[in-house]
Amino acid sequence: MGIVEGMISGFFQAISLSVLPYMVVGAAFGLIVGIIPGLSGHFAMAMLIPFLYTMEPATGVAFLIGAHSTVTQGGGLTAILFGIPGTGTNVPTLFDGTPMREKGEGGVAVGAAMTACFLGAFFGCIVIALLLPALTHIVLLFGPPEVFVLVILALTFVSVLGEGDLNKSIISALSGLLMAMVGLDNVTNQERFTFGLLELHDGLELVPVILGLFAVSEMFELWAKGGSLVGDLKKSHLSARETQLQIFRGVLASFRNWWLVMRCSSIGVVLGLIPGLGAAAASFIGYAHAKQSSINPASFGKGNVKGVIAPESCINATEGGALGSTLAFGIPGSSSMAILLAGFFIMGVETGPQMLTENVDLVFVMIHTIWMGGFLGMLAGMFLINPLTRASAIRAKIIVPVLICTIFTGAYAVNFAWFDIGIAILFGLVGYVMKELKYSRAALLIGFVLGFALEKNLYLAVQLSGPYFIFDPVPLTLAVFTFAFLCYSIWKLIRENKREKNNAK
Amino acid sequence: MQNDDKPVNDEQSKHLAALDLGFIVIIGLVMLAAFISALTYDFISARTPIVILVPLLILIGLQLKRSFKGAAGTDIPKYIAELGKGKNSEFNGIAGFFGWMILLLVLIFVAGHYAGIAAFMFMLLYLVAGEKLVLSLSVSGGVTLMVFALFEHIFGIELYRGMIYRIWAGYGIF
Repeated sequence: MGIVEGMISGFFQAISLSVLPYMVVGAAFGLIVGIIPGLSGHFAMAMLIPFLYTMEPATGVAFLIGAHSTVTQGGGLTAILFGIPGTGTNVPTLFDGTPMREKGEGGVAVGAAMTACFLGAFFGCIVIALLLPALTHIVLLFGPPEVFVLVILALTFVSVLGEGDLNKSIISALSGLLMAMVGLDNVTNQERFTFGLLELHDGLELVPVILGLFAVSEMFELWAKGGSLVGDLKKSHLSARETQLQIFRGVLASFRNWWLVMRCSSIGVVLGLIPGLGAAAASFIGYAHAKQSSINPASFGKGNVKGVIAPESCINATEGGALGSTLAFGIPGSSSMAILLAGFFIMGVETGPQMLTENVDLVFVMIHTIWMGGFLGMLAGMFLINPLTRASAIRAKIIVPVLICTIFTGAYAVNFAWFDIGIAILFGLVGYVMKELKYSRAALLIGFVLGFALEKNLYLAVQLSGPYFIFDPVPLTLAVFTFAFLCYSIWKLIRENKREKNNAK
Repeated sequence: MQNDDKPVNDEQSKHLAALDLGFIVIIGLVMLAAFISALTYDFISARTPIVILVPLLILIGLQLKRSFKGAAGTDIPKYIAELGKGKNSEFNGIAGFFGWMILLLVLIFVAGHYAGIAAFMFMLLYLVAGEKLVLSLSVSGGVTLMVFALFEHIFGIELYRGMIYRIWAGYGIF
């Protein structure tokens, strides 16, 4: 199937009755999750993973991506209305969103943010659709030796560019890789790290691990914090008529600043393609770019609508870029993309060259879902501000038991094994401690997902090209680049430490 | 205000330093056991785990050194003793919640999925969160019904019926 046929087929599949309702449900769920502070995109996707077992691939990916594409929009709403970013990526939206609300322009900020999010997603989709023909050719150049080194490169990027401490991130990534080794070795059939447990012969199941790391761990935190998820609702409450008028002005503001939206979306797409950077970094860079390029940078932080438009358009544009590297090389750039990849495994969809040549329509279902999800989120966000924000007033002590039961049901449903519930609890505790101590959970999960690919491609590379496969031109170039990047990062870290010590003196 | 905050921050940083040290020690021991175990495998099966474990153990060693340095001002044995006596409210909250989750696991195993989650939600809402009886009953009953409808009817997934049911049904395996 060609690109144009795939695009048309993907569009009609996306709007078909077997897909669209799931996309709408996913988008609504994502928006609600985004509104609840502390729960993020990967939480929304992790919660939906158990439902994929009974779904067709097109339905499943629309369900999953629909949820993910609206989370940041929900997060933007709370950042503006309560001064609490629903997700980490929405932090820059706070800088100008909150002052705008305080000036009585909360509706304008919401309208601008929702529209910028949609426009960013749309731009990202167009770019990735245009890149697809090139990607199909590039991907064919990558055999097992190249993919093996690329996996190492991706993990290095994730560890170095992700949040927090470099040493801790690399420990997380390597631990994730090791977790993928649990179970029977595919080549020798030898048991590895199973502790004699029959349940571990097939390895650790992805779903309970994901649910534990990203959903149960959040429940620990919510339960420990207690109270209401969001403090005083009255502070941010606008009348319905005033809200709609302000929203309309916000929408116009986004279109009037179309050039800023385009620039920030381009930044988002490029950063999305690089594994490890993610939407959070993109949103900060977008905000900084808007401030730097403004004729009145002093107005930023005091309620400039451009300070809302720039990060929000960046955030959703990264999805297109991140989807590109995930689909083409099977290498997820973020924890959300790792969960998406896990969803593909569950539905029996293989990423890489086959995906781009044999399942072009499915690729376009995803691309269409990103912008359609963004559009649905924009509509819902604009017209349902007041009722939606009430969802975040639910007390943690009520919502946590309900979510825990749902999570455990999902973990059980994977294999009909209550051993998997135990795995979810264990990884929930591990995830909570990792979050507290700033170990990268994303690096652990990406390591775990890529561990299978790493070992398989290492084995194939040695079989096909011998033990010196690393000296072939492409793997050598990638390896040198990885090594140089790692050395540069370590050097930078040492320099910063020295500077900090000198400053302390 | 600052004076009020300082002891809390000190307490929190002590707590994090002790947690950091404890976590890395446990991870280190697990990885060391994995390394020893990997040495006993066939060459092909051991190759990738050993390649991963060697740098991992070195990095854990480095982190251990940093964590020891970070916890220098903390009397770890005393801190652990205080945890055991229940003097740290944050730890108590997390440990308590972990205990509740284990209880849910046991409830599911014994009474089955639906009875287990309904009882768990009711206990947590009514006994721990102190919600009203009507709210606790309606939330736990409503969510259980939703889970039942979603999994049994829409997705066609039969959830675990529990040990008691299986004994009555004549099964020997649980």
